[in-house]
Amino acid sequence: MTIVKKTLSPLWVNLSLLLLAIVLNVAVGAVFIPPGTLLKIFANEVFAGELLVDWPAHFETIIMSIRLPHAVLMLITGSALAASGAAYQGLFRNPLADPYLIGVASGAGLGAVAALSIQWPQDLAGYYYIPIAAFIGAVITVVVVYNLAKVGKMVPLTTLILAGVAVGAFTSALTSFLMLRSNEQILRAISFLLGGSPMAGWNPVLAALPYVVIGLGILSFSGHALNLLQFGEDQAKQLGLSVEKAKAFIIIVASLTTAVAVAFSGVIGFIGLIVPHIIRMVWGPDYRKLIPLSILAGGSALLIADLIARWVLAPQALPVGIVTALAGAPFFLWILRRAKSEVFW
Amino acid sequence: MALIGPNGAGKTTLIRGISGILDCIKGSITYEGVDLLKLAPIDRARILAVVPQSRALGGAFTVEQTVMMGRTAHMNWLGKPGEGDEEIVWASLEKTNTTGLADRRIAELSGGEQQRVLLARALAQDTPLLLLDEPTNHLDLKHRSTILSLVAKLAKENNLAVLMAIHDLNLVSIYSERVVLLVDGKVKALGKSEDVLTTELISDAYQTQIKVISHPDYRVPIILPDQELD
Repeated sequence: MTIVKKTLSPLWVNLSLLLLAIVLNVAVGAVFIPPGTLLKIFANEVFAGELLVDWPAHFETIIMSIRLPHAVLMLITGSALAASGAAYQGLFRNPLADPYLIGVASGAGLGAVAALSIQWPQDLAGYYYIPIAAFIGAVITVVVVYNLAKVGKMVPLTTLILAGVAVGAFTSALTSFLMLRSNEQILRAISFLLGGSPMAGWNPVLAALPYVVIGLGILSFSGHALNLLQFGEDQAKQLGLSVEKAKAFIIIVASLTTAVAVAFSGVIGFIGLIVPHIIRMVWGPDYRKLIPLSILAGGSALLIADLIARWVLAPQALPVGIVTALAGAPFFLWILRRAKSEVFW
Repeated sequence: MALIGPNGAGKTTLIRGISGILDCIKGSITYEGVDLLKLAPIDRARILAVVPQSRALGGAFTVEQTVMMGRTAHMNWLGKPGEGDEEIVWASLEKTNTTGLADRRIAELSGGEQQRVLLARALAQDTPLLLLDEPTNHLDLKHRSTILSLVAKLAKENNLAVLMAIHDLNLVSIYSERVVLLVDGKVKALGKSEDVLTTELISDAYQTQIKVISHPDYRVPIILPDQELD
């Protein structure tokens, strides 16, 4: 019974939150669509028009071709950032590791911009390959930052953040340089990276989905390895983990999911930091639960942040990265203060 | 079997080498004809368990979760424990007298309790070989004898081969059957404790004057410092 209590309830809590976040996110906008109508429209889509249509026809267009794809993109971006944040934290045994703070997101951004600035095709095939360029940027960055930050066998908090900031600044500068040299059309295509406002329509969703599903699937199964790594690499090995293989594998997969998120939604900070932290505080440090729950909660968190971003200055939409930074930076400082005495960690 | 020697003699290095953490080791470490160093970590972890010196790692996990990680090499790749795993974990907690701590976090425990939990985790690995790296460091008198008599008892009952690096020579004398004396990375002596724990060998190895007397009850050698007091 305790097992049911321990494993079922957090799953249901997070699933319900996620559903609520999706409905709210899709309902709110320039035109408010009541959640009831929204559910009827969804049902109508699923059952192929068997329901009596009692809503304006343009609601369907707004939802199906603008808001829903946007919400799904936010959902998978938030999930990807939260899960890879949790994985980096476990890998570096450092509570402040976050794809944004350790520079991986900037590295992925550089990869994506570098690819786009060499006359990238603007069709669906082109979309599918952007994550690969971003992935290469992300992996190079994470390897550089890890090696810069490593002191002996440990990755201390301070050096990790310093290395992340330095490498992040460097890659951001390169990104700006590439953008200044590009022509107007490409500039438009890549301006999302600065503001963190995502691409529109179903194409980016379709392009991102396969990478994200595979990446998150693998990360969900890395929980036990991450648990072992919390006891240090020596003990993990003595307990039977092939440490080097596991580390390389997790770094590659976490960087892949980060890269996909950045390639289609821009650089969004702090989701990967806040979400796993809250989950860890509420449901404990077991990565076998932490990663799947972070996937669900990360989606909810970014959907809510996106809702706020579109609502605060409506009809003008803020870049969602501003909202996550406004909420995340104080949270970061709070973690920094308590990191030394932390039992959750 | 106890592994003794002065600071820097290479006790911890030897333990780390045997457990496969150092990859610069030459030679081989065989158990029943299998070279342990050539095995994958998961196969080695079914033969050899280690109680490490370093503590306070993984402090957020509960005692039960920590001991369950000892079952890693016996679980599937998802790390999902089965019925048998649960049983062995609870038996290990029982043996090390840590059942009452099962739901506590590692970071909240005292040094002695953490040491017993690490021993429980090694027992959960269910291996024929057990290495311990200075398990009595930082422990008080009571916990020292508790943990050593526990290891001695388990070694006898479960037919374990135990190698333990340890500083306290009198504990060695009481609890271990055989002793290895390591000096500057080389084996200086190996044998029964009364043959190794002699005035001559120990004074020479530790570069200090000592005196060996006999324990009034157990008739084993007891080592005392023998320096002139000014």
